[in-house]
Amino acid sequence: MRRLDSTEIVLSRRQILAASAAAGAVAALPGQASAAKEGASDPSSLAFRQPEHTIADTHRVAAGHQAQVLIRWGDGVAVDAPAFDVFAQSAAAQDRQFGYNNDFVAFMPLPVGSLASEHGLLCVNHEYTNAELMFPGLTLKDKTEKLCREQVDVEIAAHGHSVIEVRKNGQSWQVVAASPFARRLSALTTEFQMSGPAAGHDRLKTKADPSGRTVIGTLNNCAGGVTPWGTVLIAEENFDTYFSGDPKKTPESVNHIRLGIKGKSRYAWSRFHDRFDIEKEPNEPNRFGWVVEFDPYDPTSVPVKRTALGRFKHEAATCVTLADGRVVVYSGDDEMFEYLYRFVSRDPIDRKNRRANVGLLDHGTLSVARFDKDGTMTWLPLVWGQGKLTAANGFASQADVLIDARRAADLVGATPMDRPEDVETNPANGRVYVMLTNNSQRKPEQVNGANPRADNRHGHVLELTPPGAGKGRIGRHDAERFRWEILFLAGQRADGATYHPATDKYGAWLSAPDNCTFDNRGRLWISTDQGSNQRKNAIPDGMYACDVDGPGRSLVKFFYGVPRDAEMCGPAFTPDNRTLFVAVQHPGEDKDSTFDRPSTRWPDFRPDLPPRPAIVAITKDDGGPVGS
Amino acid sequence: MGQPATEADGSLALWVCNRCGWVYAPAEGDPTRRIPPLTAFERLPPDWSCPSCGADRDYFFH
Ligand SMILES: [Zn+2]
Repeated sequence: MRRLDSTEIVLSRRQILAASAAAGAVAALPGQASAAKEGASDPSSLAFRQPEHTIADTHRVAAGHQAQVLIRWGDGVAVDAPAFDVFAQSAAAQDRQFGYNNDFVAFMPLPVGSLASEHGLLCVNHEYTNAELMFPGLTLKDKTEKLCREQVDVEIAAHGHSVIEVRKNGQSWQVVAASPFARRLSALTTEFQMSGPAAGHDRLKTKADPSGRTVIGTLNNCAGGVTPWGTVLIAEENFDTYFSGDPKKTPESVNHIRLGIKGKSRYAWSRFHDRFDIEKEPNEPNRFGWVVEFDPYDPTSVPVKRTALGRFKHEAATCVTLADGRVVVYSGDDEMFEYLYRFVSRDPIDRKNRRANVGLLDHGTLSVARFDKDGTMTWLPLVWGQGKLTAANGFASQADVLIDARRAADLVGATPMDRPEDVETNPANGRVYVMLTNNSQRKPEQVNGANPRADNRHGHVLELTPPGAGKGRIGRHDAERFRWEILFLAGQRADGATYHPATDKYGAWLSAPDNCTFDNRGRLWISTDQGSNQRKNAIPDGMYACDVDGPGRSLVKFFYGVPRDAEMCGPAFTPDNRTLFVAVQHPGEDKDSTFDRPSTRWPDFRPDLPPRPAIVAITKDDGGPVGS
Repeated sequence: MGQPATEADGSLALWVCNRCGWVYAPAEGDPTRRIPPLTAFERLPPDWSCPSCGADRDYFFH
């Protein structure tokens, strides 16, 4: 039943949702399923009943599940965090509180190395800020001019990352108070080290850091990954948007323009901080766009930007361990016509001593993907001195290759993709799944096998198969050549979508696949981000899931919907799959939506509070695995 | 597209998408939508949207 035809039903559902939202949880309601009754003819292994596939003020989840708001923007993180007061927010307070726009989520079991599923650390990225929703009296159009220094510093402090300790009591999750692990990494105060081949290079030096090895802050951390030795990788994505100044007036103009810095920033930061003005500090952008590694189990650990993994707009950084112990890290460059990358470490991991792996990601080979029509793909190494990556083309060393990874990838003939976002390996079958979110700029003459649609507004999912991968076999992820195929093209049938035929009857369509994860049965869980197209498409962003093997392959179902104008991020299962953590990012982000008149006030629904990005813990009423 | 933008009339101003930060530079136009260089933001077609995130023109500021 897709449409409700009774006003009373609509009203009563709203009342129930409002009441349960106020209590911090929303229960799935019966009778919302758009899927038909469970029956033998549904080939999917995912048996949950879908919630209503429409946009609403609050969130909603499949029948038989609970969605509990765990932590929101402004809630305390550090032990000394002051109470949140949205009308008196300060940078000092924000620097100790949960940041804005939560994105990547990693559940790190406690104790370290265990498979604990009821006690652990949640490591959460804070990607960016919506000042017009954080402070009264601003609009989208005037905020850059109106923001004062303190507000800008609140924004900077609201970027970065949070570590919180969480524990499950019965069906409910709680943040552990006064945890020794709790910490904020912020863009305002936290010191980061640079390591690897580009660390200390002249192009990384600034007035504040003549060593080229120490950076304050991390920016636009989108998704991330977890290493086999229990550290967290967080990926710096659209760092270009923070910088103002004319790139042509700097010695780095080709580099800055290639990364999207054109002279105007959507943020006001350069008005108060010279380092965000490239005419004053032309090398500052070179210190962002990296993958950051830090150890959440050591609250005093210094986070490190690993330059060997290259500099671009990293959506994520996800790891696979090879049979010989070396580690592979996949990463997409999230922009239209950009590339898919792979890093293979030189050395194997030390499984006995996790601290011995501290420099493992500083040595290895970065490659970029070329997709050919015959269904094969080739990894092209980005190694200084090889092929065109020489002084003749402006590369004086491997540091230049890494700082200008996009330009190096252009020269070796990589395939421009439809915005590569998350790239994850399925532990059940060894295959790698690439979320290609969309590319409305691809022209008919630019299509290729792996990016087959012009004006690709809905995106698609690619499936890569390394040699030797298959059921229960991880395969050789260091191989030069993989095979590829398209799992499905997204959108509606009229857009040329290619889901399982039974999706129309038993599932739901999606648009703009963004992040993903797998459950213990190897099923693919996808979070979506349609941006402002969410209103045009009239379907909510949220969690969708499908089989990738068996008769239900690519039969997509809708599991959880975000509140109005949010996107879905960070899906992370506990090892037992009995909890799924998700991140609701930028609820209420719309061109007419402000602090004073937001399009939703999720999750508090209090007249004095704006919407707040928050982490949600989803569990099943019967205590079983989520989605089972 | 009418009169080309010029430095003098100020219409070469950069416009920024407030959803994703993408910058419209009139000097470059938007080749994939067949918008020629030196097209001022004000002269973009009404249905033009951010090439990066799909946001409509109202999201842009300068
Ligand atoms: Zn945009």
